[in-house]
Amino acid sequence: MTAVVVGTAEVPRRRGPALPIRADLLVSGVIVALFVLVAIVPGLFTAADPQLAVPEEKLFAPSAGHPFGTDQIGRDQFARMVHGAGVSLWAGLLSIVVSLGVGGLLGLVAGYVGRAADTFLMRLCDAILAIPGLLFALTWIAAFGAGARSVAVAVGIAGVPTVARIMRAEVQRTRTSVYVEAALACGVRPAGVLFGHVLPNSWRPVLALAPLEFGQALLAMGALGYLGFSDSTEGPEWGALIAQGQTYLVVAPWLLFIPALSLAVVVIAVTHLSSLRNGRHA
Amino acid sequence: MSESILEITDLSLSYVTGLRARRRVVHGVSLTVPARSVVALVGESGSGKSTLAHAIARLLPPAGRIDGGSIRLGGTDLTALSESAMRAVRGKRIGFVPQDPMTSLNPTHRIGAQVGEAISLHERCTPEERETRVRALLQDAGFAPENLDRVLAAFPHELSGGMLQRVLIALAFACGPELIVADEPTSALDVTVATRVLDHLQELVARNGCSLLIITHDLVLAARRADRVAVMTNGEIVEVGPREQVLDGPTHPYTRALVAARAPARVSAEVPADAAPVLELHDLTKTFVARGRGEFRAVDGLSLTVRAGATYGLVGESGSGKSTTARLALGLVDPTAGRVVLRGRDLADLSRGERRELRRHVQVVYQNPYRSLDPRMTVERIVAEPLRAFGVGTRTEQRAVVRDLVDRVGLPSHLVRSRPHELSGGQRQRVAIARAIALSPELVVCDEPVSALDASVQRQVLDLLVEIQRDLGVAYLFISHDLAVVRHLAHTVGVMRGGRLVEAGLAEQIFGAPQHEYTRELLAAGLGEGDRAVA
Amino acid sequence: MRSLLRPTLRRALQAVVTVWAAYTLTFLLLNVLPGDAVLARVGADTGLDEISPEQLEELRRSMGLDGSPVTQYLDRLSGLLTGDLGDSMRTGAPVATTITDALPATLGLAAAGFVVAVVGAAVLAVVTVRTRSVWLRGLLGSLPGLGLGLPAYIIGPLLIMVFSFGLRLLPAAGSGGPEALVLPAVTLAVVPGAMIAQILVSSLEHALAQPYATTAVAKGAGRLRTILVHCLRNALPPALAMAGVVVGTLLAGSVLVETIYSRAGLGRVMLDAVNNVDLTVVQGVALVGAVAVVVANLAADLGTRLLDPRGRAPRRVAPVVPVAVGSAS
Repeated sequence: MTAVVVGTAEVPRRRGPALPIRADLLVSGVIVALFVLVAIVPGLFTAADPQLAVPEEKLFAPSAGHPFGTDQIGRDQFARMVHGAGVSLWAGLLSIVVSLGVGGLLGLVAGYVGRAADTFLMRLCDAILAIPGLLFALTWIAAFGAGARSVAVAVGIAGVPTVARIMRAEVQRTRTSVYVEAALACGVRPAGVLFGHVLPNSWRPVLALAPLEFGQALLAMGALGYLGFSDSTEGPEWGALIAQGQTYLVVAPWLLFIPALSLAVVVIAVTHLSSLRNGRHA
Repeated sequence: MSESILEITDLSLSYVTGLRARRRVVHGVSLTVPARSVVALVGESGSGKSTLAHAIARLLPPAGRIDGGSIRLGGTDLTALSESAMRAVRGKRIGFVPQDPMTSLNPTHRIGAQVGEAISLHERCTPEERETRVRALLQDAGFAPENLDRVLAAFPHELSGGMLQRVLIALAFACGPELIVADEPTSALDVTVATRVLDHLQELVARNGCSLLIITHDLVLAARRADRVAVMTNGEIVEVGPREQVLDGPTHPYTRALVAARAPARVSAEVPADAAPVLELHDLTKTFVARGRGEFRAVDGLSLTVRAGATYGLVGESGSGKSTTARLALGLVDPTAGRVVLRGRDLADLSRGERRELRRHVQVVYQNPYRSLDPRMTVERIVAEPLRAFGVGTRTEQRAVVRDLVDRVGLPSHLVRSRPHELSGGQRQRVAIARAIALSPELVVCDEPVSALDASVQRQVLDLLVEIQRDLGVAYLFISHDLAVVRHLAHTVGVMRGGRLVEAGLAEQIFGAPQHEYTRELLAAGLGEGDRAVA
Repeated sequence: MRSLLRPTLRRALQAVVTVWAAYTLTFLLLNVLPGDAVLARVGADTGLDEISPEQLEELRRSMGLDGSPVTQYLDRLSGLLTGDLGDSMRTGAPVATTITDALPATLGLAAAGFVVAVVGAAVLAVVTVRTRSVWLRGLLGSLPGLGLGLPAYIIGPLLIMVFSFGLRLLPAAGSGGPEALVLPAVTLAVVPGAMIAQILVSSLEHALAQPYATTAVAKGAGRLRTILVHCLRNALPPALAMAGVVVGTLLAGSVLVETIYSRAGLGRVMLDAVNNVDLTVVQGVALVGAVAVVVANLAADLGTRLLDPRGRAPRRVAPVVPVAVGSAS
């Protein structure tokens, strides 16, 4: 913030109302932690088999035996969601590894080497960015087939340009900063400057993107799951559950409501956590 | 006893920093501005003076609060007014002149419209009447009548800093207010421009019959322009009275310290006249090509010599080319023409490896202490960096050297583990100096090393530099816009303007008998004035 | 105005290059990398053992997939320049026709979503920034964040649940009439609207913190006036920079929304094509998307330049207006 309303030494760092935000972050943190736990050890939360179809018990409302009800062929919805969380989590992680890894590397090369490499890499990113995310993922699926893993990679690649841009900007900023010039004037070699000054000051904002990208990945995969593309052996992806729920909306609204709201809550919690980084370091 | 225009009584201000947390910045301050007078409020950054000024016109940011006390403007208690009533006061009864002219005007509105708005917000008049008044205001502020058409139609980026400040002054006077509050109105301007702008402001105040409250960090400016002076520090006014009393016979220790910091120091005595030259610049020229805007000659045929153990003070205002000269001397940028000779070797002849070797002997201290240190490194790592770069000693030895250096520059030893953001500006600059002398170089290029520091701190850092020169025999190429600062340590002085040296010679000559008109102008304006506000 | 021409032309050229690059990228993805497209295509329809090598070759030739990737690429590219997007691998119909038939419906939906998003975001942003109450600001400021977590496939079905089946106010499906457009448009507008609102709030606050906003207030302007007259125009550029992303989101969202509400349009075309591995159609739709995004960015770039007088000023005039005040500057 370049506020010069009052002398810069006098205005304290804006943190907003202290108490409500901290409670927010706590709640978000708990939600995300819960999600991760459910995804990693589904067995801890449900003993029911998500694949077991009991036709006599179809479309039951939530009850003690089936906390989230049952679907149209009698499968326990709670078990399905619990196992589905794992799909989302691992796919999401794969996605951000691709985004941050590839994007970070591209951005570093583009920002540090510059010139031709920069132009080429940025045009590549422009090309990826030009194709709307979902369409890009669909194209990838048409080319490489559907499935959670394919979808995860597709979403990851769609996220590369954003990460690359930010890394490139950070690298350029640090590369031209006064302390880098001071280091060069001290006699530090270019390699020393890259690893000692440029990288340590550049990677933090990129890493701060991770929660945001993870949230975006969850959403994108939910969309593709809704459209029917993310079949996986581990469990039904939440987006697919939502699509299913919509079909039975009139007779069993909880089949839609619960997965939809759960996904929304998890995504909001994850993205809210990403604002933690931005708030603290001005 | 004439009535007062402004009466501040026991005013306390704070900022809300959390749900229940507040930070008090002004404590029970009282100040009176009599009718038809000029009062100066002097203080360093962080003293609360700017907050106070903004509070008078209720211009505090949403987090600002008035905790207690009152502000009376000619009988009206401003603190009791509603927001809409206050809107009627702002601009009409109080005119506010802000600090930074380059950012205080809307970049997408024309000047004419912006000045006109100041009128139309309070008074009804036809567009023709308004334009006539706007023209009159601008003329009063110092614009020549034949240029008014262009100025009215211009956008802020088309005018210089001095002109923009005049526009802001015109804005403040638009509705004939009773009080003008000027918050550091000239600290962002060059010294020669600032003088003229302030002259004009004073003239306008006298002609309009209103009062002026001028906020500044510069005690000497206050001395020249004000009838009464108030001194503020840490949110309190520690001394107030007529100018002579405050400046010639200050009672409070803080005021005394401020006055002492401005006293011109004796010029360094020993002049090693026949010492070997460490740096020679021969006919140095550097031209920049800006896309679409043609060539720009930053440095034009510059020649100077810096001798071992001596200080060459290079003085010039912004845009004179002095910073480019610094980078040329350091070999960070190649000249378009001319030679840079360091320790007898022409830089152009050297390979990259040899140039790097040369850095052992030439180091630099930058202007901005907030940017020249890597925010992620500890003080120890920063100071040790030159040692590491050249592989001098083992880690343990390096650590010992660092401790020595930190001690030498007057920093407490526990700070070696701190990071830059934990240190004050003056402390950071000391770290930069420690880093610069780590390899015991022969030459240190100081690029405005104290310009970003408070007056009281400047003196300390300058004294440190003098001490180090005496102990280590290091030469300085000392670059500054402030002649008073250069006076502290320069043996030889060069005055730069538009990329050229207009005058150069021994310090006594330049200060005692300046030949060139520009030098004289700088001296007249610069002596006493000149510390810039923090960027 | 003349000074705008050069940079605009340069940007337009860059835009063309970007579209070409996007096309090449899709070509690589669809035709080169996965291996034999024909096998994939045939495999989707019938079993591979049911077709003879000669028939396969014939099929290949008819689809233009014989010859090296490079010749294919150049053929396709030259076709592109004449507006020929190839033929559907499934039906044989020209892709361009298929797309132009489906486009109007999608465009209409996207346009409706756009309007709702922009208006909603602008109003929310101004109200959020105008208020001086800290808790209200916090509350309103968190709304865009919430919106970003409510993509079409979450909020759409929920809206259907409430408004169609619960309150019985609006239709849950179908493409006919303005009523059928309300829920889809709102569903579509949530995420882009949240994006725009978020960035507008941040840039408006940034603008309000600038010294020129303080000057406006010091002149006697009220907060709303300062926001609308002074800050809004200066706060637009970052929002405009998002134009490409917003348009992209609208298009992608349309695909989803059409599915959710069973509407006709490009969404159906694309999904069918993906399911049937109809590569030319997939490529065509992706290309259309890329063109839309690129054009949006170009328009936004032009808009930003127009807004900023610094870009508009003719270059020949000296940057400093001469003022003679006894040779003052």
